[in-house]
Amino acid sequence: MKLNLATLFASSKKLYLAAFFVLTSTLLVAYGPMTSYSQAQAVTDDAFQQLQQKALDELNNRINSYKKTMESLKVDVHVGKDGSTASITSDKGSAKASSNKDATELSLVDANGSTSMLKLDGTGLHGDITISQAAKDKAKQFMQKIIDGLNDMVQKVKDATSLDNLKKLAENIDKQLGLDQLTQVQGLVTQAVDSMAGVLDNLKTTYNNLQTQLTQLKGCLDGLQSGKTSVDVSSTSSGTTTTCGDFKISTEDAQKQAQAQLDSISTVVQTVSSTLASSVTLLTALITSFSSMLSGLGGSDILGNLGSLLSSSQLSSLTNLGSLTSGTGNLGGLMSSFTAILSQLNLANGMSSSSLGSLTSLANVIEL
Amino acid sequence: MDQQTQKRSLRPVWVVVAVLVVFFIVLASAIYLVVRSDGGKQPGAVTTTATGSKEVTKDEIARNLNDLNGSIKQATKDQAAAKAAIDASKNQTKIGS
Repeated sequence: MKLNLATLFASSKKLYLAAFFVLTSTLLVAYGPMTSYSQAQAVTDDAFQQLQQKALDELNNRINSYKKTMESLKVDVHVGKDGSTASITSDKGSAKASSNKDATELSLVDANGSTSMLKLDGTGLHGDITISQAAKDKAKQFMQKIIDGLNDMVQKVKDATSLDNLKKLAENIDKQLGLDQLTQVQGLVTQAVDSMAGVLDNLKTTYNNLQTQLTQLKGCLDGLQSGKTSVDVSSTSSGTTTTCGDFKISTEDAQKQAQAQLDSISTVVQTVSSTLASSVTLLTALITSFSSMLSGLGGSDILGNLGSLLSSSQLSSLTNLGSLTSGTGNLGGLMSSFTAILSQLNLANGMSSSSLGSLTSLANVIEL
Repeated sequence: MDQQTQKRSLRPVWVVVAVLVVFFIVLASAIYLVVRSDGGKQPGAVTTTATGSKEVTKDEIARNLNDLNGSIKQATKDQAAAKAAIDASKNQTKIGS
């Protein structure tokens, strides 16, 4: 009996050991794939989160940047829900513009827009150089549509459930980068041209007022001959001052010298005006061209639909617009032209600064 | 005799009339010259120069120069913003790659 119990115990121990080894082997075999699966899942989740975060950061960065530009443009744009109309108000008035379904519908040179150089005659400089309100509104409307499109895209990125879906959205964001950048550059260059027009307007006003003063001075000096006016001599701590009426200048020669100085400033102001006129003409052509290019991308309101462009044909049409970095293609060509406008504006602004110095000196010479 | 007396009695009247006419002519001429030399100034009226434009004060020129300076600064700022955007467009970082 003892022998039987011992044998039984020995045989059951072997059985337990065998079962233990079988179970351990099974667990080990099963654990391998499970570990691999968990690791793969973790990698996928990590990639999804990283891409989602990158996409959201990029979109928010673009939106904030455009909002700043819109703020600098000082406009309040309300695009209609159906995208067919856009009412835009600015500090300089308001206008209604149709959508860019057909770019030719919008006349970019309105009655107030003028691109001729200032004319000079005996009384001063005449004429105005302004960018049309329609062109300004169009540039602002583009900006607002880009912002709306990007906001739609933010929501899509947030709602994405798979990495594949997210990758497609990321591809869309990348491909419309050039378009977004060009739209912003267009808005900023339009603003820069507009502010340069303001500089020219102030130059003209200052020039004309100084011309009027010189004419008054001439009248005072002419009056000396007929005895209607007289030259006053007064002594101060800084020396003797000779005046004719309200002016420091008391001789005809000095008056002629001042007039010659003002005439030479007029040459600079006219050069500023012709440079600005050229910029306005080029900018108007570029806005028209950009608008036509966009309406040619499938004949729909491409800017308004940027947030939902997901088909490969639509994305390739964006890519076909050209590369900005290479400077070739349509977008690249437009960007180069905007850069050229900016160079012209820099030149005009430099000449305006030098004219400001000359006008200030002249005012100090002729005024008491 | 009576006719001669009547003529003599009317002569002072004619003299007074002639003096008055001459006086009014001289007065009218004087008023015309004074008004012309004064430029017909009325309170609140705009004084004109030979070119027909209004007088420009020193303050107005100072304001013009100040406005011009401000607009040049604004233009410089706007151009710098446009240049920054053009420079940023050269950076084509892709998020999908």
